Amino acid sequence: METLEKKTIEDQIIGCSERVQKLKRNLVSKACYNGKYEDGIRVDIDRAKLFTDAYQDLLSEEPVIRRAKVLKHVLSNIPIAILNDELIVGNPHADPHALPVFPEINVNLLTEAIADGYVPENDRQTAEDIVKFWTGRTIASKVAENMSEQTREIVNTASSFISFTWKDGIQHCVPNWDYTFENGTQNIRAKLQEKITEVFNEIDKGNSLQLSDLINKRYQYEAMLISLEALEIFTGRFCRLASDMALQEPDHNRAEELLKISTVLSKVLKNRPESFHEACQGFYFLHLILNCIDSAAFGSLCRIDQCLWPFYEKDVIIEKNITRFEAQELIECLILKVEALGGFFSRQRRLHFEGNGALPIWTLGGVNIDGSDACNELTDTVLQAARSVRCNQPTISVLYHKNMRESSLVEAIKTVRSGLGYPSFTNLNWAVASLMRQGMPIEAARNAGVVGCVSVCPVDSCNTTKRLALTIIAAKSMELALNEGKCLITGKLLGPEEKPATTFQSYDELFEAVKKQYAFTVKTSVNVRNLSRHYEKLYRPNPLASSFHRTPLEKGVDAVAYEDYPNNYWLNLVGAVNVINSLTVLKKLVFEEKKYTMADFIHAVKTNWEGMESFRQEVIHKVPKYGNDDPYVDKVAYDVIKMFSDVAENTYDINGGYWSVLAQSVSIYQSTAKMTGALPDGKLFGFPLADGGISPDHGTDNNGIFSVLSSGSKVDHIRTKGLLLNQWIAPEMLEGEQGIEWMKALMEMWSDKGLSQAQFNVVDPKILRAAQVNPEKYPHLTVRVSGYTANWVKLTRDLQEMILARTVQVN
Amino acid sequence: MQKCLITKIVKDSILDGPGCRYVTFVKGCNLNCPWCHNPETKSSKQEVFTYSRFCIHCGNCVNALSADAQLEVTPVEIDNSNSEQYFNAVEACPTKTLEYASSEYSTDEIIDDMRKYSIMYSKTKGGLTISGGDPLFVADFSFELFTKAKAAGFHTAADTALSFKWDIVEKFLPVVDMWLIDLKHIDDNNLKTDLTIANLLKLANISGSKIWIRIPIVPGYNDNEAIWEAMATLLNDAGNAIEQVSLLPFHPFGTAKYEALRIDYPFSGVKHLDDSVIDNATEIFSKHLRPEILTKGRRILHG
Repeated sequence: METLEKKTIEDQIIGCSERVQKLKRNLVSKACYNGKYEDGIRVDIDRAKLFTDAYQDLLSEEPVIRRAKVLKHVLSNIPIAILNDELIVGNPHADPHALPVFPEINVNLLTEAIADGYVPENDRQTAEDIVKFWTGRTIASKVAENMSEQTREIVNTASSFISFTWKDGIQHCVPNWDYTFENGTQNIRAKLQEKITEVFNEIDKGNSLQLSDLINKRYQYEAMLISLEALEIFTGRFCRLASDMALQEPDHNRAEELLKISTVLSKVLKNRPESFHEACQGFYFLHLILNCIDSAAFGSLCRIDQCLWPFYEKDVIIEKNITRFEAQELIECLILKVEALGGFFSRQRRLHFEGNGALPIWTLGGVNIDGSDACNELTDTVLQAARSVRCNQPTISVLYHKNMRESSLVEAIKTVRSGLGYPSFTNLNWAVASLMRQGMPIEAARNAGVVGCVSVCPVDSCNTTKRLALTIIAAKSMELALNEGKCLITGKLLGPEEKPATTFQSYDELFEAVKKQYAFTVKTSVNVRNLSRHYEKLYRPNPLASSFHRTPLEKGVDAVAYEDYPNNYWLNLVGAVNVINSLTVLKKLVFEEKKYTMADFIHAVKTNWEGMESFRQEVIHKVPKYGNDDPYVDKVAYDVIKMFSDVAENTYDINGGYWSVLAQSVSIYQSTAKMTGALPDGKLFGFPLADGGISPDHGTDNNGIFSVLSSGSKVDHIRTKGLLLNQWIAPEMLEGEQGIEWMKALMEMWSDKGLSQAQFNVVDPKILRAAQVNPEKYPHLTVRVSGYTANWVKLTRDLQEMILARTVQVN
Repeated sequence: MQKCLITKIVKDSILDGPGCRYVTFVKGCNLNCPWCHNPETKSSKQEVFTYSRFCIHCGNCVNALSADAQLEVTPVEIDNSNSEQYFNAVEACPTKTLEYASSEYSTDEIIDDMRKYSIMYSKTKGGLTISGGDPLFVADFSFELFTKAKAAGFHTAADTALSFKWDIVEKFLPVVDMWLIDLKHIDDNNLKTDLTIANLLKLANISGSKIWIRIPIVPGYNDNEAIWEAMATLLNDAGNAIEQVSLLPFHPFGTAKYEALRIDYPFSGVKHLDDSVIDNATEIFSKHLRPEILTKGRRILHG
């Protein structure tokens, strides 16, 4: 029995083969801490140069054809390597320290990279030439052209707006894995050829009304064909490299391994995989290209225990070609390959996402489309592999339901108990209800995976090939409502002008003022996002991703432009609980008890509670706080989340779908501390906002985890895309068989109460403290930082203290 | 309906009986164990904690007590023998410096709250534990609460020293599924261990009784081999009703609460019991007891 009492975290690396241990030791991390990459990490200028050179030569081509041909040029020429001991191969660049940049989306990132010293001296001129070429040609600059000066000013400077694709250049991009493995490129190419012939025949018939549409289809199909050729060129290069290396390899065993790898690579992705190894390799290659070479993207959404299951079942269970241990080693190799991937992120993003900001997540468990349990032996094996190899990414979310395979649930709990920080749990019943409410058929809702950190999306759809989210600071709406629409920090007008808050006569009036500010922020950010979507559709089609989804082939559309299902966008709200607690304070002390006036509170927040500590303490301790199962404040919580959803659902995407709310804070709650002023709930300027979506604010939940779940169940989850709940559980709660039973019951209660999501940190705070003192002893200690996992010893001291301040549930 | 002052409610305990327990710590005890780590559970009257480290010296407490407060020190010095005189000061304190040691709950409030989490108690074969203080000291409340819990389908456990007349214990037999019995000594008149032992043996003889024994190992009080031998022999004689025996090492975490109640702690400065003492005790107990029932327990401070 693994318990933290007996072993330290470091002793827990269980069952790793010698190969995996070597791979882990040699891995080059792309994580950021304190806004910086680790020493030696540099920008790969080759990808940007290849892309830009080809692009310049192809200016006259149709955008979709150009995109495919540019990709072909990049994949034909980017330097590649196979590293020692690897079974699963492939990398964005031969140098494991190199991070690709994507100047075509937002050239400012490359400018920042040069300024921050991430471009080696030799590449500097090339980088500057690339910046020069793309300036004024990127999606970001085209979006900016359409904004009024005032909007541009607000969006660029206002701290209420955090992240957009056009700013940080990051997409979502996931293939439909079942479709990909079922068909392979050979089959898809044959179908594309047929489609092209069909379209030619139609054009030949001279149907004038359909002509434009037909020509667009032709370009789309041709581009998809070219991108598949590009993919085959890339895999072919690795195949030859492996066989060449085999000839040179003095170690006989490794030479044989390389030949085996070469054989796998000769077939990979072309047809239905013949082996589990081939399926894992194909899975990784496509993930690599779509997320790290063709574009910067979150390779999150996949049900890995479903899409790889047929190949595992055949190799491990039916034909017994490999042992379960060998299969687990392949998964461990795959995890290490994903762990090594990263992106070059903007300065802001590097600060917001301490740890690795690439955020890949794998979904496990859930149900089949008929509603029956989908867990299998691979579910268990993936969890065991994760526990054994202990990486920060990919993180894992388990789609929990009551009828889960017993061993899978136990493996999930053991993984949580091991202190890894994941898996998180997503409530399947909530996911299905929520997706159906958004208009999806029940089969699609059941076949959903987790995308980003918390949200769910059907995997059998090309909804997964574009950025679906943007982030705003909800708590800022509270600040603006109290300050006539102006930022407390800069004094600038960031929202609609509001009358002085001293004149508010009722709680309802105050509530409406917050709503008005929030609605403005939502409208403005969605509007910018829509502009960005318009240009993405025009200039950033994705023929490769399109090739691995059903609808683009059927309809001749591009996966970036097309949505199989509507209403699948969400607003990441930061600091929602601060709004709940602040409104509760004002409701009680100003409008009900009339003990204080609005003027008192406005004075307090404007002066950062200076000289008013007893007032501030009263606000903190004498007014109920969300998370304690207190009906007074929990009613406000319901109203606030409802208002957030009402506004979001009245805001539309350019395809006509409505938006939803998703409350989470990632590590943004720390980095946004200095973006939000003092608040009526007692928060001081410079101190962090409440952590996580509907997690209680730091240290304000005093009645234990059951009361937290009770409070969390009182807001409406079904209308949202997820409300994140972060909880710490002391390791002794989960000790032994009794601990597993306790956790199993807790999961069932959490699910019954209708919460959408939960994630647990199970690390003894004593170990975290010890690691602060002797970081060298705990190099692999991980904690969950709402939504993803980070290396503890590398987090900033501020964030460490914040995490420690979260209430640990122990009785 | 019965009401009682409760110092703490723990809804997710794993230490106070089988499965997940809803534990209420009632205020009031007929013993006065000098090492007690929850001193606020001794008196059945409301008391006030003073945590001076939270004090911001705003003066609200003294102002609440008298108009002429300028000269007084803050926080106000609470005399818990007369605590009700200071309730206004507690209400006025904006920080967590002055805190009531308990809140009053009715039996219905507790059962209603438990129902919200009933799945936890049924799935883990857990239930309600009344601890304290001593549940039998507030017998009317405890009896009503146990009765309602049984009616609602919850498993019940009483965490008690059994230092009462048998007719009180006997009354609880129909409503208590499990007894968690604190055995402190083999012969200590001050702590009425004669009652504890006599009642324990009677209980053990009743068919169907389920008993867990918890023995605090306290330095200078019962940390000697002769006492352990005697206890172990006694427990062996008590027979199969005893399902578990836990040895709980003394810990000094109660110190802060004594300071906060502004009373002297007889065990002030005494350190955490050394592991080797528990190991020795375990060895002696294991000579007499079935090995599967002996556990080296751990008890975390509540509150």
